[in-house]
Amino acid sequence: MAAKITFFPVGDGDMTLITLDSGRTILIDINIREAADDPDDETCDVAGDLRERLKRDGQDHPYVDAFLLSHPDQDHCRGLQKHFHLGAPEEYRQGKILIREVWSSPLIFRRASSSNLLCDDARAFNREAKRRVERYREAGATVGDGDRILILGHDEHGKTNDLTDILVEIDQVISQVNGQRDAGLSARLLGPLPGPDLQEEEAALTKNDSSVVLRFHLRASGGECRFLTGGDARVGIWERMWKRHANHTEWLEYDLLQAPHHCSWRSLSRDSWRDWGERAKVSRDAREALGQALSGAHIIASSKPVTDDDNDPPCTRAKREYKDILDPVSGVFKCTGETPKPSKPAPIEFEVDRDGLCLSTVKAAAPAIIASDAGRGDPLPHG
Amino acid sequence: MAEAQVIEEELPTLIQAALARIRQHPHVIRANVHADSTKEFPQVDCLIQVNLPTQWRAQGQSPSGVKLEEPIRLMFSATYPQYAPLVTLRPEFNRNLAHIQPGAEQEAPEPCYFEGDPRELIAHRGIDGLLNQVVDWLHRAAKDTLIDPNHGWEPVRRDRLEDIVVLDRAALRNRIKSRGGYSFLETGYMRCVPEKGNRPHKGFLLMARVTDNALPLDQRTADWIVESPVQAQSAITHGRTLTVLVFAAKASTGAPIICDRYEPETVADLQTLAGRAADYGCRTELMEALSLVSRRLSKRAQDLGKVPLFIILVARRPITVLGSNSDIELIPYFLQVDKEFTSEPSIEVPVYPVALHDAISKNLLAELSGVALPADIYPLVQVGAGSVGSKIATHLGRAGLAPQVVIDKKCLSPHNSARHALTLPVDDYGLTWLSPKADIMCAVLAGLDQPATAIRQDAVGWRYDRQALRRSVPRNTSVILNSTASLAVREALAAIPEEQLRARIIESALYGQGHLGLLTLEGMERNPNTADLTLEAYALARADDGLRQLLLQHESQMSRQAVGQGCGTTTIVMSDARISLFAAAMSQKLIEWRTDRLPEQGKLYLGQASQDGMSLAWASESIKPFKVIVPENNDQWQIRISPRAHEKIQEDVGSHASVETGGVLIGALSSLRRTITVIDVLDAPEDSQRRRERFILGRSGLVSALEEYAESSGYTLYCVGTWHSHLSNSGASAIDHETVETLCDRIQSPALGLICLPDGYTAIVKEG
Repeated sequence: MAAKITFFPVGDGDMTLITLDSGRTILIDINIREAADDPDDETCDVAGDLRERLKRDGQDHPYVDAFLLSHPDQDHCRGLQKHFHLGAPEEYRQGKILIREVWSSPLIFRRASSSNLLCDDARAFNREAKRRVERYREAGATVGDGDRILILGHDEHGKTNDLTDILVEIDQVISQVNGQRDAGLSARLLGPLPGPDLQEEEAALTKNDSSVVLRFHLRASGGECRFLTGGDARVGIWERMWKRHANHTEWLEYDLLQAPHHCSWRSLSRDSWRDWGERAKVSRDAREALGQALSGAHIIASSKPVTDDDNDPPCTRAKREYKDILDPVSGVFKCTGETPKPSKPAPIEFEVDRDGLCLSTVKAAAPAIIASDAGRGDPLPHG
Repeated sequence: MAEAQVIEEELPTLIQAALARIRQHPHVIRANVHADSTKEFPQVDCLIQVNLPTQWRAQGQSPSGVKLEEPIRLMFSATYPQYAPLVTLRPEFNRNLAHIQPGAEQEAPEPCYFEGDPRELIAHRGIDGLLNQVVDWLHRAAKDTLIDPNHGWEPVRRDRLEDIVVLDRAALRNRIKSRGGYSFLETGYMRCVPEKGNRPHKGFLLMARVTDNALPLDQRTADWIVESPVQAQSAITHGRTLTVLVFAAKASTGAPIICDRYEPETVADLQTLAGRAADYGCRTELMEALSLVSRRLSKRAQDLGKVPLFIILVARRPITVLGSNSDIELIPYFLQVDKEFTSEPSIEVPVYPVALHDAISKNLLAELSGVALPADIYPLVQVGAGSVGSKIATHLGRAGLAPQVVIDKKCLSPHNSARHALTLPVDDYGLTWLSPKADIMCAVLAGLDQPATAIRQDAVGWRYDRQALRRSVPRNTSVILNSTASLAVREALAAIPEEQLRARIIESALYGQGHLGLLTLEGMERNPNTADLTLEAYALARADDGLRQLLLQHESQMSRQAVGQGCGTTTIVMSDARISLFAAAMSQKLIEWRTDRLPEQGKLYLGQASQDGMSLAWASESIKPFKVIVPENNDQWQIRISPRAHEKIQEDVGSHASVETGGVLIGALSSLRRTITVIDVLDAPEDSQRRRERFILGRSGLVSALEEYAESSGYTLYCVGTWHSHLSNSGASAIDHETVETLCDRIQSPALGLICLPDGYTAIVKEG
């Protein structure tokens, strides 16, 4: 069989599904905008596309084996309450997607503050994660599907000290999904990095730097793929990442990289693109941390089309930098908002099989008249 | 690049539109009109982006040689989209991949990107669909996964095949032994020397039929090989020769040798053939077999000239071979041998790959019909090869399930051609149309590789002629299909006791001018029997207005048709298509019955054609065994009680436990079988008296109730006697005998007195 990695086109946001060789699924972030749920709007129906890829349990309920929220920003959890079941599994309501296991950063234990403003979906996620932590505290590791949780990284204020069985420490490897060992998965937890940097950054952005950073190592049919993803982690995090791992750079190697923060210049440089333009300097260490591309690697910008202007994210200069990283290894840069074409983006899918990672072929979309697109968008005048 | 002979704007509009779509395809980097294009034959060069696995991107191509950007050419004709464009790859594209169309070395390779006619793809999905398939093909070619394990192993691609062998693959596979070796198979062939101009380079074409008849290669067999001399004015000669089937032994590990490497055909001479045999693990066996051929031929007394010797190499594949249900691939060749033939694997001896065509075989027919032939399929005897019977036999034959014996007493008559499955070739005087039906039917079945025994006989005679029965119905026959539409045959078959005829009878018949079909299957141990089931059908139809009309009250059920001066036939006028409608449905059920276990209970199907004349609606019932009793006063008779009647009687007795009760029996009487069959029971009239010591049947409303029942059943079901209960297990009383006697007088027919006892039934029959 084959493992799959799917990047959904969700504008400047993230939504990535990993389907392991075993069929287990790990969903990383969601950004299901209202327009995407509107059948009369031409925005890609990512919720529909997601559901098509999910398995159903014995009761015919769609489910993901694990849902990872990299950090609680709206563009990473939009649509959570609408499309996913939150609460005890026995209270399941028809049509929602069950989350068998939640993967969360310890940020859920941080009190809401001016630097930690949360949107509704993020608050709902927090409640759900805390409910699961409580279930663990009551029943231990024996809790069932829909009650499981993994905390990725420990809380600096000791709130995770009693969570041994469900706590993954930085630099540790996750090889279980929903309590089951999976031979097709080992994911090393590289972040969130605790420490001084958080105070150095502007307060409002600390959520970004608390992003979970994982380097997945997927195996399927004898082939393998290394996939690095790090939410919206910014330059300081990547600089520190390089310092920590300069002696074992293989931890940062990738066949597939999700360009952090929707291809933001802020992940590669301390200089503002808008203010400094071409004079802005790339952080050497951050570029090194994000530059460990293996032969033929792909970098995916999960963003709107990258335009040649002072926009950031996505930033054209960041795109250029990533292309520079890829050139020597004959790699490919792709943007979810531009693939297959900017006017009609569709999920980008990769397969991992005995030959390693490969971008899936794309079929020509049905002509508009068949695809009923003719009925979307502006009314068509007839003279 | 030379300038195009035609500019885009001059192309036919539909091709311009296609070009626009091509350019929009997500994998098309660019598409341009090729220089050699004409308005009639536009060619479009496309550059396709192939998604190579990341590890091969740096090299720019996959290990199988597929590049990141692959040029393809679409060769349109002005008739597009009536015809799909021809798709070709660059000339140096790796031809060693599976699913490349056979073609000459110098021609651009063509990908085999669609299973089926690309015209259908174009009609269904347009040019997008075609490109999607080609892109997918290139992707698989890059990953060397063109052989889809779910689909099957792609047989060796062979680019130039001129000669043909026809064989039964399943039969030949049965000749393969795990210890390895070879087998010499009897083969007949035809050598054709076409007119100059069409002649292939070796000068002739061969067409051969390889049988699964293995011959020992002794001197006698070697001397038996012969080719008839060329007849003057004929370009065709016939001959008989051998085919060597060569197969590998197991590997030293004990596992079979599996050849899992796809390679197109490269055999051209004895040396390359030996190389191929080595790939399949059977080189030693091949050389041994050829050496034996060489020794035997050299000792032939008579000269031989050059005759073909066919060779079939057997390759075992890791998965099922495409288009078959086995992992064994048979790869045929031939070479020319004479008395001087030496088996030295030399490049001097040309060897020609030969196309393999499946012979008509029972297995092939079953496979194509989606029928899994059970190993222990039961023999079937069919009685009646008329309009319905011939169609059913043909349907069964085409599914590999033909009857083993076909019995019909009649000869075909030209008028039969209006309604029959058989269509006969024109002979000089049209005399074939006067041949026995059974013979012609069996000749047709033999053509479907299912030789059957034809018997010209009237099955009605079987009841008295046990020898004829034994001769006609093989001992292990478990089913007889009666498609005679003859009441006499039905009665005769039902009359033969189970000890003499164990085979269960299936009956198929049409009624109501072909608007109603009846299919019945006897239960286990022939109970209910074929006659019981017909009566049950009458009972079923009686209760349904539509069915009653067609089965029981149809006017002019039979009419006499003139079929010649002064002669005619009693038959029904209906179209052949109408008969096929029912025969096809019945055959479908028969296929199911022949491949699955037969149901234990009796089965009854009544099918009705709808007003539109096209659709059929079938009602079905399972019928439990009938109670069979022999009257205490006359063991020449048999009483058969339907489950329906039995249940009604038991219910009545249950609700009158302390007194005798009774009622009137409805059914049918067969004097031929000396059988009274009770199908239903009418409640006793209101003025009946139920007492401890006796039951007196009243008369109030009885006559009209009986008349109504008989009328509604088209007089197929009528009063056959009475029943009453006894409170103890005592036989018929003197009064009972008297009553039945009286009844017998009244109905002027044998009458039944059935007595329900606490432990079962007893009965008396009076014949008047």
